[in-house]
Amino acid sequence: MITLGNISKNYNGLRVVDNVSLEIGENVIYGLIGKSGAGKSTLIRMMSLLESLDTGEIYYDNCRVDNLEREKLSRCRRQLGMIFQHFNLFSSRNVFGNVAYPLEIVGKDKETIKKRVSELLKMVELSDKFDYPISKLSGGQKQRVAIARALANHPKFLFCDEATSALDPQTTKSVLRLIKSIRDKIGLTVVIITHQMEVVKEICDYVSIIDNGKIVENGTVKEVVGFPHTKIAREFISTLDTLEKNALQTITSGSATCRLHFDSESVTKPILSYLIRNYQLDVNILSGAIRTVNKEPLGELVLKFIGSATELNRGIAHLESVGVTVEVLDD
Amino acid sequence: MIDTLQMLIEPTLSTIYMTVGSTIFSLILGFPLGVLLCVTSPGNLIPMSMLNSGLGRFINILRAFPFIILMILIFPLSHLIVGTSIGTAAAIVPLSVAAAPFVARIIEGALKEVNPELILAAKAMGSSRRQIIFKVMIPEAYPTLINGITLTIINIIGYSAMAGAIGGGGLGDLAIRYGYQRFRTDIMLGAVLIIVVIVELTQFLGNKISNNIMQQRGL
Ligand SMILES: Nc1ncnc2c1ncn2[C@@H]1O[C@H](COP(=O)(O)OP(=O)(O)OP(=O)(O)O)[C@@H](O)[C@H]1O
Ligand SMILES: [Mg+2]
Repeated sequence: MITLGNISKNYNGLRVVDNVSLEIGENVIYGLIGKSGAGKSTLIRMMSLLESLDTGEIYYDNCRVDNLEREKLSRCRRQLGMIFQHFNLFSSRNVFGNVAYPLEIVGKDKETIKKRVSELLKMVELSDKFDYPISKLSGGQKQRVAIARALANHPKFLFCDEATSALDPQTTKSVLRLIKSIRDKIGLTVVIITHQMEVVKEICDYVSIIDNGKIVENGTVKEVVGFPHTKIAREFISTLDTLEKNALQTITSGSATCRLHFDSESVTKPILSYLIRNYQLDVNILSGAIRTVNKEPLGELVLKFIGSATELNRGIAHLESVGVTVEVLDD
Repeated sequence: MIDTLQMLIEPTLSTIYMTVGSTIFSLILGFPLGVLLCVTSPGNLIPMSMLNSGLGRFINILRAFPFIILMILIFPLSHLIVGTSIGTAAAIVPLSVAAAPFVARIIEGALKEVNPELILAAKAMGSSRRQIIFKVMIPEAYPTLINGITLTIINIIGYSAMAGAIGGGGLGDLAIRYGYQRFRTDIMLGAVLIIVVIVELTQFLGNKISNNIMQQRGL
């Protein structure tokens, strides 16, 4: 478990991380999403003890770690693994040598290193490439090597800073799946920094949205995607379907355009046909999507309702009463 | 002809001896200084601005000294170390001292080129400073380091000719004494030719080693 208590960081008078408090449970995959310059990298560098704090405290499993002296700090860092956007592999070492590095620095003997490295390379499906120079690998393969290297000393935490931002969508998915399967298999707390909602949706259990160094929204991915409270959260979610954005732009007139969020319970019920039969409303479907978040379906519909104001209000009230969140976009 | 060749043999060996000796000692002196200059610079591994700027200034002063003056100033030091202030062995002392600051700057430059993100990654894995320097920074910089050391050797070969002035022997000394003072053009040309060959050979080997490393890394 990682606990952040009111941590802040200033650079030249600019508050880059602003009073962030967070608790990340064991074996959870936690997403931190925010725009460029929001302070994500700074935050994860503080969490991974690479950057000092101006205020606040950090605990790993209830053990305070932000005030350690150099020697202890190095040892403490061995509990964590980290992967980066540009992989940061050593070009002076081949695949084997890179994965062996963290084992060498803790003084493991040659036999143990060999055994552990081949285990790790098998896990990331790169056993056949052990003697390749790094420059001869594809982006996805490089990130797999980096994952193997990060996990060499059985860390409790894996920190990922934009780890898939340099990869194409296909490779991104496969790397994310690998991380998830490792978490499921060996148990690992994962913190993922990203600016892509796709990444959050794909593997995170929880997500925090960061804006200007502050956490503005927090919760399970299901909650945040299903029921966003802030504008910035909705912006991130809207990046999920371009189809829906296009549909929204073509609205010209009408009584009320609404976005309906269905949760996993309401999404399976014939709510809309009930609405049409019982209220004097016509409905135009502008766009719709069902997303699966952590194997649970979440529905989203953008509708244009045509009818009188009173009927509209009654209809919306009814929708809310059966567990649908209605967001009125214009009227 | 045979006579000329025979006259060239000993000075050639002296030059090689001076060059190898001075390279080794200048590296022993300059390498740690270069590492120190790099890691104590602002934003680097162990930022220490006072030490860094002090050291930088000291090295600049040393580099600004004309070699011939440095050599004379160092006479007492040579005497202390080698027991005499003339001869090939004695020439190694001023040559090493003159080349050391150059080596320091070359090493500093090569290490500063190492991608800081790699150092961050090594830090995140819990590496000690010593491990970061010796297992990450220096190996990552190998190709640049080799090129820099090649350049150092070639510079030392050039300076070693001047060391002849204090009885250091070697090809430069030979060229001056016979070619310039006794008009033996054949000996002078021979000496120059051998120096050119040694320089070319050094450059060739340096390139080869650095290219081999690059190739190994698939670059
Ligand atoms: N070492 C530093 N010195 C001064 N300012 C810094 C430093 N590191 C980051 N900053 C500033 O802090 C702010 C946040 O930077 P940070 O790298 O944490 O953002 P980010 O959310 O990771 O952005 P991106 O998505 O572009 O990587 C930026 O305005 C940046 O210029
Ligand atoms: Mg960043």
